[in-house]
Amino acid sequence: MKNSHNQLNEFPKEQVRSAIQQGITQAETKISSKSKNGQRRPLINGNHKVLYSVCSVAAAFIILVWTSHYSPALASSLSKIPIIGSVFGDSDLIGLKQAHEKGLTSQIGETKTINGISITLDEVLYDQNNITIGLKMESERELDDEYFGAGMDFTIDGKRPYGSSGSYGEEVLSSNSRTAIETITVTDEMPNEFDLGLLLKGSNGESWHFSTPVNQVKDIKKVPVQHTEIVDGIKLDVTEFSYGASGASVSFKSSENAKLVDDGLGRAAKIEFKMVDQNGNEIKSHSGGVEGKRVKDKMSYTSNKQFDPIDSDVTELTITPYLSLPTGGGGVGIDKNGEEIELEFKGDSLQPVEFESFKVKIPQ
Amino acid sequence: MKHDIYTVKKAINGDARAFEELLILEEKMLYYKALSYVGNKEDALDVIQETSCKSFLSISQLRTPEYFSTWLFRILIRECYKLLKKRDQIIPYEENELLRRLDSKQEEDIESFHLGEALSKLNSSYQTSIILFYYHDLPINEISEIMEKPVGTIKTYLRRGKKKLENELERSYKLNEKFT
Repeated sequence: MKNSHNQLNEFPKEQVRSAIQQGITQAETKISSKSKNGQRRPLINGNHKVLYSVCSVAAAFIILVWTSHYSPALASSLSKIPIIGSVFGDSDLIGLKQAHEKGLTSQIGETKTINGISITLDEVLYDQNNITIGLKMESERELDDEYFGAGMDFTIDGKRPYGSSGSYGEEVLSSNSRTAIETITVTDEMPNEFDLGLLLKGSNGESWHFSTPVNQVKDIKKVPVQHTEIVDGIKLDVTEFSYGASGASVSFKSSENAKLVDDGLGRAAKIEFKMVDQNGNEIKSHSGGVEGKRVKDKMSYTSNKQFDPIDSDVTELTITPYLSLPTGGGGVGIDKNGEEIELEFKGDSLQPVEFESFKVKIPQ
Repeated sequence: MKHDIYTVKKAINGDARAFEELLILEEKMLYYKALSYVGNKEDALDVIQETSCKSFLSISQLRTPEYFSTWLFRILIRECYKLLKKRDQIIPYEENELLRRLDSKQEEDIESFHLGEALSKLNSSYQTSIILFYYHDLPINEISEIMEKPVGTIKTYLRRGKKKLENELERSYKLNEKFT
């Protein structure tokens, strides 16, 4: 083929790499959401059971509403029970729950229906770490597990970002309804306020478009941290601790010789943190992705590790970096003759290192 | 492009970093190949993203690591075709080049300005198979995979497509002669 297109003048290297990375991330999310769905899918023993449950819930609801006419106390308690739950409020993530309860989220409630499938953009939270989006899906017919693929694509003020990472997971409530939470990792290119465009695609070619203005929550407090150390060839530089109602996070950079990464012996991307308050209570970690860049012989990473929100009585935190090393792995490959061969697991040759703890004072 | 078999094997075992490394080695080829099919940068980037996703999801099925590149580009071309089909667009081609190739198998000379018009009158299956076969040099079995049609059907598309193209060109010459 003769290659003489006019657009050959410039190779958009960064954009091509970003497209490659986004594609792989998309595939990884698909793989992980597939395995998550497998674990989370509730057992439904036949239609009768569902019907009985629905009837008994409906009966109980009618009795409650009727009784509340006669009891003001009961009526007041009932008013606090949401008839249709909120995706964030019902989630088991403390940070999302708290942000929802404190009114830090934008409640949208916009529904679009295509081919009998209604998608509701329920709620959005934009904090220092993520843009988290809650969706409700209801359909007239049964939908298969991967009907909505790896989740939504997004735009910032109408433009597609150069690169993005995040996660997408669904909670299957019944064969016709489910909820989903998508997180998009916050990057430097995101302004504090912008129009977030969302596109969800269905297996049958449906496209649900949403657009909503988002603002980063203002309750985020930042404490600069200057903790730098070099241990066994790994350079760690912790730059900031931030916290708010939706969670806390530790921002850091790490780096090491790229040759180690090539040989499967890289460790700088595997740094996690243990965080305890002045009373010894551990703050639950939610990990967080790592962004890597290779510059000549050095592999550098930046990351925000995320934690549950801290209580208002916390005055000091002790943070200890550590390596989260794999304990197993390896696998089976196919050689050129089509025969299976065992692949060596190198993770067990990774040596743990001991980092120094550091303290962060929380301004009162 | 020849790839390090060990890296390909790591990718087959689900190692995302190894897979990314392989794709980065092919980045220019991926981009220019996609561009030659879809005709603009934005679509080429979309196709690359979709190809990365689909190929990573199915790399465990790659039985012969030596054919990684061939396998990858087959997925890329299939994605290009899907995108164009969804938008009801024809695969872009360079008229003179397609002309030269058709010409070498044609008794009569075809004039460039008639070709685009004649080709646009064919149905999309005939157009696609002719452009993939004559312009992109794809073998019939690959076209059959991309278009998801049996090999026999593709041969029929090519035969009938060429015949129709000849008729259209002939009609176009006659019309042209009348007006000149």
